[in-house]
Amino acid sequence: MLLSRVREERSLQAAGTRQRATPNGCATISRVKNRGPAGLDSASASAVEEEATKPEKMIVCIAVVGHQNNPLYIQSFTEADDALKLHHIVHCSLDVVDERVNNPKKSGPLLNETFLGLLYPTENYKVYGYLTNTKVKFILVTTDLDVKDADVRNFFRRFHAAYVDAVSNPFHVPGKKITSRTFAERVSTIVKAFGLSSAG
Amino acid sequence: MEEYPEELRTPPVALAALVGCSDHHPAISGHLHSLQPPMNVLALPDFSKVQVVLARKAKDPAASGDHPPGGILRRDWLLKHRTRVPAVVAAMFAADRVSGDPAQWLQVSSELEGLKAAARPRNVKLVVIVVQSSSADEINEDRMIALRKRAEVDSKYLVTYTPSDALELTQSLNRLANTVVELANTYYRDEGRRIKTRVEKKSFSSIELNIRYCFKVAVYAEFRRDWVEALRFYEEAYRVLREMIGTSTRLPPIQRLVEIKHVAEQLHFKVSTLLLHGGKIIEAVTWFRHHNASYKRLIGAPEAIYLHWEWMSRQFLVFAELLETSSATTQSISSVAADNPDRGLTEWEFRPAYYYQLAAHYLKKKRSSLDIALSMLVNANEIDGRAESVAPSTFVGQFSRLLEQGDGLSFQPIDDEEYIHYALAEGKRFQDSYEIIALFKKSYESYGNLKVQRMGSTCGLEIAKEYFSAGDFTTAMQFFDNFAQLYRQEGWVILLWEALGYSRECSKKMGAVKNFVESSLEMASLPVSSDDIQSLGFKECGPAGPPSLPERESIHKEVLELVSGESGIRSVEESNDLNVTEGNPLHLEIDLVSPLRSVLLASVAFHEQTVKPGASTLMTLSLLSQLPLTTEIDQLEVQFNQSEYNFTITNAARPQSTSKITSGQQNNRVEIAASLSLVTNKWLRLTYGIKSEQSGKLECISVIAKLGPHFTIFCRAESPASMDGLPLWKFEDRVETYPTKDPALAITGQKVIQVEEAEPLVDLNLGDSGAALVGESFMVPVSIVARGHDIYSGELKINLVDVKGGGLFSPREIESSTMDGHHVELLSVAGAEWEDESQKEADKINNIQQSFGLVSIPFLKIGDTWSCKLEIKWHRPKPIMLYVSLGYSPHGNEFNAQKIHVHKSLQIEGKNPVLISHRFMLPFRRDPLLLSKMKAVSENNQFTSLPLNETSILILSAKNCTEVPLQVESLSVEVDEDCAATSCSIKPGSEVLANSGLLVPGEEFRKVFMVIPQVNSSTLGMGTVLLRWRRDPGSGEQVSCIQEDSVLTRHKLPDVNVELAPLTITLECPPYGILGDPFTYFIKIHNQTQLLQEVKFSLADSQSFVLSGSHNGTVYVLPKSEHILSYKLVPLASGSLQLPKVTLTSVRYSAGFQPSVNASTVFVYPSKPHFKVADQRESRTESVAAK
Repeated sequence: MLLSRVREERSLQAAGTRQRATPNGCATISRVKNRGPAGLDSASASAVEEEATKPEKMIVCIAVVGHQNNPLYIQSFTEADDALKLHHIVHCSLDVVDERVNNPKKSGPLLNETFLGLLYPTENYKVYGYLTNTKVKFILVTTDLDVKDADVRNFFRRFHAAYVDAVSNPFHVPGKKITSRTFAERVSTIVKAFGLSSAG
Repeated sequence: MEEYPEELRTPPVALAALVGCSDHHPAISGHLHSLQPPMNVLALPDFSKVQVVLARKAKDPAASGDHPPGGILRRDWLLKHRTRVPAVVAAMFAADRVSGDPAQWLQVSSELEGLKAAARPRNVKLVVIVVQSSSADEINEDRMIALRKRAEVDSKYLVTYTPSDALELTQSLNRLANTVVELANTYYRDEGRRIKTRVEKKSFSSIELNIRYCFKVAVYAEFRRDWVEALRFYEEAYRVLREMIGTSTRLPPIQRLVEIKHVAEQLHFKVSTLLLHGGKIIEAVTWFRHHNASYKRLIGAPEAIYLHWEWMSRQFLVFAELLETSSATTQSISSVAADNPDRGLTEWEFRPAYYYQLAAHYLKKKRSSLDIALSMLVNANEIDGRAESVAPSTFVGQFSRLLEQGDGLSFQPIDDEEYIHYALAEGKRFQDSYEIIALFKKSYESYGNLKVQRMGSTCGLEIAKEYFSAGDFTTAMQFFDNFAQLYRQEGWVILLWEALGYSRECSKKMGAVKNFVESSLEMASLPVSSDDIQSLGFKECGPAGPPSLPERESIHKEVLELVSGESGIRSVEESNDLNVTEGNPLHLEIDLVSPLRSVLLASVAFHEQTVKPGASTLMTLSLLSQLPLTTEIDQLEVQFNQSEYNFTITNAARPQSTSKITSGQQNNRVEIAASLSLVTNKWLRLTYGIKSEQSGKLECISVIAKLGPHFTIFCRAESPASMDGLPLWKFEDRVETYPTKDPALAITGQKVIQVEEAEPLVDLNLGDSGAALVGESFMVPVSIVARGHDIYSGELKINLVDVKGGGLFSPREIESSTMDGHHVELLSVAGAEWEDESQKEADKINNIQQSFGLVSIPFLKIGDTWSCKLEIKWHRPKPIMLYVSLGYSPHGNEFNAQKIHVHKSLQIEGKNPVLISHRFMLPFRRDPLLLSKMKAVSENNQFTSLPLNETSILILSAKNCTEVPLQVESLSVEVDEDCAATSCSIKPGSEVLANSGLLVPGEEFRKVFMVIPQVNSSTLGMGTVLLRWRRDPGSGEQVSCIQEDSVLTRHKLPDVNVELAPLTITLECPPYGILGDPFTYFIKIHNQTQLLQEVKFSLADSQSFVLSGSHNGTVYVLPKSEHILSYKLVPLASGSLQLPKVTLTSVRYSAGFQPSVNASTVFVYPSKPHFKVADQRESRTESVAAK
């Protein structure tokens, strides 16, 4: 037990020293460093467990996609270097939206359902979709792997309201990107609220 | 999946062993193998081998009892049960040996004993087979019982085997197979139950054993094909294993996790396979999800992180392969997904492509962490040395050092560091890149088959990145360019930036200057600004760096330097540098769909839509660029469809480069602009005058911009009216300006201008001569006056068109219709005064048709005139439109010179000149009794009836309907040819024409004819009236245009009915009376028949006259004779008086006669009048009355 702990410590130190030598490794190493104190306090086995149960409940990306599947607004809420990946994820999710729209479920609850539900899970994310009556798509990417549908629905409803307000601005040209700062602020408020509500 | 051992991949097959009588083994094992389910057979030639097979295994259970086990699952356990430990041993003895002499029997017994001893510890079931050479062979009954007792088997497990004939053979084989299968099932059930009780009673010392027992129970269940139990215990084992994480301390941490994951992988594989083979695809997917969620976070120690990713990748890959092989047989994916919306499964999770993609993704992660791990090692060689002699050990997922001890091998546990070294050495051996490409390709193709474009393109992009990092730039660039197209279409600028960044780097590495410049320019003109990309990592964005304005600027700068020749960029290979030099000029083309439109957009608008030749108009050339930096253009060349209009605009700020270009095209116009700098998103507007010479379409084709000495951009010109927005920029919130200053021009402006024909300087006149008259040759004078142009090869086209539309007198219509159809006809073009006699014949292309004419015009100098007359004849009254158009060219020498056209039109009414009417009269006071008249009351449409051989009077009148006076020359009646001249004689009453035949408009011309029908016919043709007339020559100013010839108008008289009148009554009295002077009044009744006619008459009294004679009476008129009634009358009053009314009635014909009021009126003078000029009138009256 003691032996393994010492070994763990040593390997962490080694990782720390090698970080400077290899800038390519910074992504992985930084994750290790974040986890560092926990790994040192407990036994290494539980450190592994801790990694598994660590709660990560947040929206990492929210996007508004227009009629021609062009992005109107895309905002990621993550510090890591994965914004581009989120772009890809949002873009790919449009395939699922297309498929859902083209093959509507026979057993679907309502004909006019705007909430498309979980579009697809991918590595560490879940992607949800929402289709407004004007065929504008909202895409939500979250790292929360057991999020409730009701929460997402609620989020989308609020987001939709914010979107409607933003495009109702007389200076906004329909079909153009949304550049309103107010909208951005409001969205980040909604996103933060989502994190709180689903975590609590 | 292929890397799993076969015993894991395939469902287990029961194993039986055959001992003795080895010559029968192939038949039996073949039969058992073909069973359903099959059974494998271990054929052992003699009994000593059985002890070897079974005895060695007998050691195992002893080892596992006391101290904790060294691992979870033994690596070879499954294989052992599939290939080495039989469930049943079938001992075969020949019948003659069994029933043979005691020595043989003793040997059989001892062999059986040995077998029993070997089989019992393992609970292996025993079957004894007695091989009979033939069914007739007698076996000693006692010996059989003894054999059974010795073998301690139930009687049914003692089987006889008779291979001698076919029927017996199949029977005994079946019997044997049933027995063996039954026993094998029993064996596996017993074994399973034995271990299951251990699990249920929790009689195990460690958690590893728990897992092992569960696994074994499940495997035994699988041997029995009890899938449900197998699944249950696999899942149980999996669950227990998952609990084990964090509690086990048996091994060093890294190896411990590796072992657990290995075992979990096997268990998971078994579970997934069972679920999928059972058709439970939804459960399988859910299970995989559970598996993924359970182990995804178990990353493990940082040094060995790549092992985790490798493991994850394998999980996805294996599941993808499982799904792919099974989903072919299952129902369609979408319906499965649609039926289960509750589980939160998405349709994507049923597609292998999804798993392949993630497998590739994890493999990428593995590679990058492996690279890190490798780079952390100081000396790479160190790995190989220390990894030597490390090998997989006896337990699944464990590795240990193999030590040679004497002639045996032994395993020595290794610590984590050694293990890592071993794993690194193993990892280095694989080319992950190819693996990743293969996985992504599978996913890409699979998505492609599903027509899932975007997911596919994401995979494709990953493939391309792999190729890129592997150094295969050509392939990579193809991929990048493909996917850039998709992103471009949908306006995903950031993704496009990434793809273009790679593409640019590829072309740079390959030394493809054009591609490099194209992708650089496109990137530089992408709508990325710093504010909407907040946190894109630098590393993530590939070689292009994060999309931002500064980055765009730097790319732009780099390209500008390259194309201006200031710097070359070294490519990877030394041979092909990127540079633009004189020997290697660069020419880019931008068309209407090119993505480079945002680099340079050229809009050309003429300020007017049409222009007169020779007049000058303005043209605005507007250029727009979205490049981030201000770009200086050295020179612009504007190209038109008529190359003589091309001109170049040079930048005054950069005079040095102009000389080279213009040298090629000397005669081109060169404009100098003060500055040709393109500011971002700001139109550069240049307005120039264009003077067009030639009529037709003048279109601006393209604009060629020259930047730097060897770099040109060929940009297709666009009309502002039909210009599309820039596809990527249209979503941006930016200031949009018009390409021209005038917003109206920006909306309607065209890059095409229509140059009109030159203004004709020739007068074409049509003389207006009022209405035309039917029948005459109407002349329309046409005159051409060359005012300002010479006329070369002139042509006059004449067209007659019906005013009411429809009836265009086209040549084609004329061909198809008869002559009667042409109501109006163009007869000729006459009176052309040819000036040049020599030219006359050559140029005279007089092509006259009924409604169309083409006349060539001789050469006319300025000031000359030429005229002709169109002769048009109307056959029916009809208004027509006359179109005359003159086409000529003002310059004689140019062959294809533009023709100038002058058009004139005139509407002409066609009218009937005269209205001819006729009237028949009988002679005064003479009335024939016409029998047909009596009947005619009912039939009004009867012909006029004329009495035979009597003189009737025909009055013809012609009324002038026109507005011009007409001169009537003659009016006559022409008897038709078909009725002979004898049938009817028509003589004019007088030869002299009244008023010398001049008719003013509205006046009537009359002529009297005497008609004596000579043939009794009901339809007598009366002939045709011929009226010869002409316009009165002295009547107006249009003398010149009217032909002098007289015109003959024909009018057909209707047929008449001629009949013989039986009675003719003639009243005779003097022309006038004198008051108080008596006169005689005769009534003559002429009987023309051969019959005696009885005629009653009565005469009424009259107040004005005193009368003598009988009032009433009946007379008989003899045939062919005349009876005369005479009365003496004395007028009592003066004036116009009514004679006493006489009424005659023919009794034979019951026809009454009463003279008309006119006929029985006489004028009475108060005294005898004295006439002075009465001669003429008297004579006329007499002549009428006399006849």
